[in-house]
Amino acid sequence: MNKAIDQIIVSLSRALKNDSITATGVASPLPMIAILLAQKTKKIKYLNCIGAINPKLKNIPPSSDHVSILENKESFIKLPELWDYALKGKIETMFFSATQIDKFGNLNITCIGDYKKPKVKLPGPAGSITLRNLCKNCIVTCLNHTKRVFVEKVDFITNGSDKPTIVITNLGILKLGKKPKLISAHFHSNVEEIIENTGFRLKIPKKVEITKTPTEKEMKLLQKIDPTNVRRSLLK
Amino acid sequence: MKILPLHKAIEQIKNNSLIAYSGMQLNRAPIAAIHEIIRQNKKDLNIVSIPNPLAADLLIGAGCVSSAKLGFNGFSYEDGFVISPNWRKAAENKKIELYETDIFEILQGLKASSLGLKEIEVPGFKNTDYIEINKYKKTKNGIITKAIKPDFALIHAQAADKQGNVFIDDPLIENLLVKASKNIIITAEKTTELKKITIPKSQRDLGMKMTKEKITSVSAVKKGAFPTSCFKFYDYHLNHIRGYIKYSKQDNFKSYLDEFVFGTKNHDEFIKKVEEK
Repeated sequence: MNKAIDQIIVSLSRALKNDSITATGVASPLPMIAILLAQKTKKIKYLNCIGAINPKLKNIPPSSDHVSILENKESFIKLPELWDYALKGKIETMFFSATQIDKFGNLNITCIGDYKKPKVKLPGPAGSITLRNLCKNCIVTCLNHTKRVFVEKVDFITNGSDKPTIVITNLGILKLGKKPKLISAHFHSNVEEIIENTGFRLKIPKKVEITKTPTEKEMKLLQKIDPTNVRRSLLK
Repeated sequence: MKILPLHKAIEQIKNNSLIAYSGMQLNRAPIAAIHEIIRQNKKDLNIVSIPNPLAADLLIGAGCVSSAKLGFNGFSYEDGFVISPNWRKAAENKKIELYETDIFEILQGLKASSLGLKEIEVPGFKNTDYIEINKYKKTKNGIITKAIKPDFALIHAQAADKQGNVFIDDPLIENLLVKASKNIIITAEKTTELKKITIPKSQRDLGMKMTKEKITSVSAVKKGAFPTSCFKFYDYHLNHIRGYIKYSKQDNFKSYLDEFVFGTKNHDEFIKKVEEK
């Protein structure tokens, strides 16, 4: 799992474009680490929902909404201003996750079962309904690629998108939408494992690529950002 | 503007009121005020807020709430992520009326109220089942929502003075809350002359000062956000948050309330009890 976490963080970090703006919402520690990693090699403006633009973090806090993020920052940002950026189309990339994900890339963080009579009530959308539609590029992360997560149809569409959606999981990278397909399998996984753990049909390319593994340089930078391996302790 | 002890300030709140409060996740939630609401046994409150799991979970678990307009309910902390236990139980057992939505709809609702509008558009609100559930009027790019005008906003500030000027160092939504709400109840770490507060020069443009016209009352409450954090003053109390979640998950919430809220007369006693543990 540690390899998978580093692979996810590095893959997220590579997806961030140079000279772009990105943001994290509540409870998103891994995307936060990925952004800090990307900032080491790319010019990226990072908006954090607790109120910090470009926070400088001495230690990785246990969440993306921890008070320590406010301590050392380029400037303060009020919460409505985060949507000001989004409404103007200025946020290039944002990260999302979910309890259920379907082949169209719809995400469910609302409930398992019927909304009116939920078997399990999930935490709710936070800002994901609007931000998923307002940000140019939305990337979904999933740490437990299983059939329980990747379902034919989500119980509730918390948020969805008109565009295809890239999902980076602990096993590989998928592109979901009208034609759901496998982009690559991580080095420590394989096509069979991905098919076996996905609850809908994925188009498999003739020759499946292996996701580029973290380079030595990326791992060095990641270790520098998170020397105490907070990223690993977050997965209890 | 009145200077009031906290229990007097909370006595202003009537049952059935719409209550909004400040704080984001585990930072600067007005917990002293929330505990006092529970001690005074307020009923049928309607609550609205940005993600602020402990405040909502306490009020709901204590049976003070009849409806909740919220966007997210979960603790993200050292032990990973936990869905707010009392909120979850209330939602699954239909103990409260849920109006679940995107945080941006809540911010826009407050904005409408602050501008004196009855309704406002929420752009980007599409591709979601909430449109059907909450029965919105649709627009080309989103939906229309109604103004949110809280009867009371509870805000914990870093400092306030006797004139009702309030200083907040990390004013995430307070500008909106103050403009949108009918009454503002402030608790503050320090009550002093604001002139005397020293803020590093580099950060002086970041804080927010509010003037007395909008403030209903100010109460001095040291560590008023505890056990959540207060930027520049203290971190959250991890052991107590852990204990809270444990009690709540084990269907033992009544004993939590009996020990820590009803079993303490005021916030100072609560803090003492937590720190003794």
